Amino acid sequence: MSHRAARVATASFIAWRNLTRERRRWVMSASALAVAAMIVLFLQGISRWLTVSSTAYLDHSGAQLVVSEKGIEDLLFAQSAFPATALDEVRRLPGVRGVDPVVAVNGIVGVGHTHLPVYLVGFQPRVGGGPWRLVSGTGKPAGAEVVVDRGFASIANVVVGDNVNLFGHPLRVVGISGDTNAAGDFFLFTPIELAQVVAGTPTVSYGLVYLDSRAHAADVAAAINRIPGLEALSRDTVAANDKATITSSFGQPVEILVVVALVAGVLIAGIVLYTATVEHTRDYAVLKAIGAGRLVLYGSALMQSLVLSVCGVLLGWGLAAALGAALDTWYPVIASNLDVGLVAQVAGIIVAVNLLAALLPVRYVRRIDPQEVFKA
Amino acid sequence: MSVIEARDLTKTFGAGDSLVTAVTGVSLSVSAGEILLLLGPSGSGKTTLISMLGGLLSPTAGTVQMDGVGALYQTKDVAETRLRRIGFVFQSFNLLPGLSALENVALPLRLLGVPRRVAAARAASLLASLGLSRRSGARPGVLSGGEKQRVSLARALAAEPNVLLADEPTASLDTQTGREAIELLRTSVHRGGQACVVVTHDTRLIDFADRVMRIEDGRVA
Repeated sequence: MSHRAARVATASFIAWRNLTRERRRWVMSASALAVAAMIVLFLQGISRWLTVSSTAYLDHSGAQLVVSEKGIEDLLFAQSAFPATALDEVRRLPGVRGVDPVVAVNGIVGVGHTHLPVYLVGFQPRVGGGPWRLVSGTGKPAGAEVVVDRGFASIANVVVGDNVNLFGHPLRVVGISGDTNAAGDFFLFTPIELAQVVAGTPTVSYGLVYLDSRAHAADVAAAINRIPGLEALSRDTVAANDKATITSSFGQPVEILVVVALVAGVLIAGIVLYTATVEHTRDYAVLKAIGAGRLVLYGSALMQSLVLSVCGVLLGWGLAAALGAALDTWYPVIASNLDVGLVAQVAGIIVAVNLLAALLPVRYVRRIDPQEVFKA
Repeated sequence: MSVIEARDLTKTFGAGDSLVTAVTGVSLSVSAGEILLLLGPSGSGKTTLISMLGGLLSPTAGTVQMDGVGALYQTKDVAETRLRRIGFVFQSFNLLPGLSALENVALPLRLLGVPRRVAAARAASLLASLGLSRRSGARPGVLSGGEKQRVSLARALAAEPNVLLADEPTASLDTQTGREAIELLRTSVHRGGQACVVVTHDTRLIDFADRVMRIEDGRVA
């Protein structure tokens, strides 16, 4: 082992012993950092959920193109309507394997003592365009039946077999779907005919277009755009438009909260890491006095910060996951998507920021007077 | 032949009206295996002097010459020189509380890049020579004052330094333990051949020294 490696090992060893000497204090420091990390991770997870959930319906549809009324370029916010017969022309176009008509009704419904935003999807159960994940019951409603989102069911306190009154229509719940809460807009699924009654028009809102494997999406879209009153966009474009609207209306405030949490987290980390170093002033003075070099002095201070930060992030991840699970169980209206990629990304930022915060104690160590050792 | 030699060491703090002169023109030299006792009351400048001898405080004027090193304050890395050439024994022991007795003694060796096992063996041998082999795994918090001072002495000797500087080594110990500690220090110095400077206000230590210098108001009395 080289001298430098031996010194790094010694710095790490001193840092570890400094941390673990007083376990209660170590746990408290790591917990403070964990709370800061938890808030950042949890909020970042909500931000991720907002964008992922806003496009979940389209992402799971499998359609390559979305047909809408001319001028309508999103799914969740605009109200598209065109004659159902127009989709017959789309079906006849070369390269088109199939088209699922969908009726969409945006609205607010009263359940219990509250009102919830809902997105009613009328679809043909035998074809497609319905729920993609079922928690219970069936995904193929018929007549006056409805499949409701899990969060909606939880708040409305309904289960499969119960009746709910939606848009003035008494409907029987035959299924509970999962992952169908689009950034707080609960998806409900009914047969297309019922949705048309609710909408008060025999028109359809969208067509989900499935292409042959050899077809070029751009060519088919161009052909659809030549049909009067219709507009075809790729699924990704419509999803991006929905995502942009969600991000500008909900995502940005959450991002601001994330930044605020990150700043607060940095302050907490700075205080915790600085305190953890100041507590060992005497030890650093001794190390300086007996001749420890900068590598050992700063290395041990930085290593101490790194170990505390990593422990804090891991603990914070656990806490954020637990908070997300609790939310999912007791209040499934919003969610926090903590996938490993996101956690790795955020953890990297937190650890990097904490190490920057650790420069403060390193500066402190640099200024410690080794003559401190002569104080009785 | 002297191992450490100080010439006309002077140290002042502050400037103008607040100028304080802690040490004025002190010269001394210590040979291998010799113990020099710097005796003086509190505030006489002893600690300032030992700080300059140990390379912890640069003098305002004067020089410190060390055998094999040259002018101490002109060396490229004073800290490295301290690590290799100077061992410290402090009044309040200054052991790292998170490390065991053995780890504290091995620390200077590890800082020098000595492999862990070699450092541990050397530390264990030193602790055994000072009668502490059974306490090698103990943390400083559970050691008695005398044991701590012996560990401190072992740490000071671990890197086989040329110079040993002891600051009030018996001040935190009772009479009997203090006597034992200074006796151990004397035995170690005479056996190891270090040039040793002991700073103290305790006149009872005069008998243990080879030579005594009295310091008053920053000057050799």
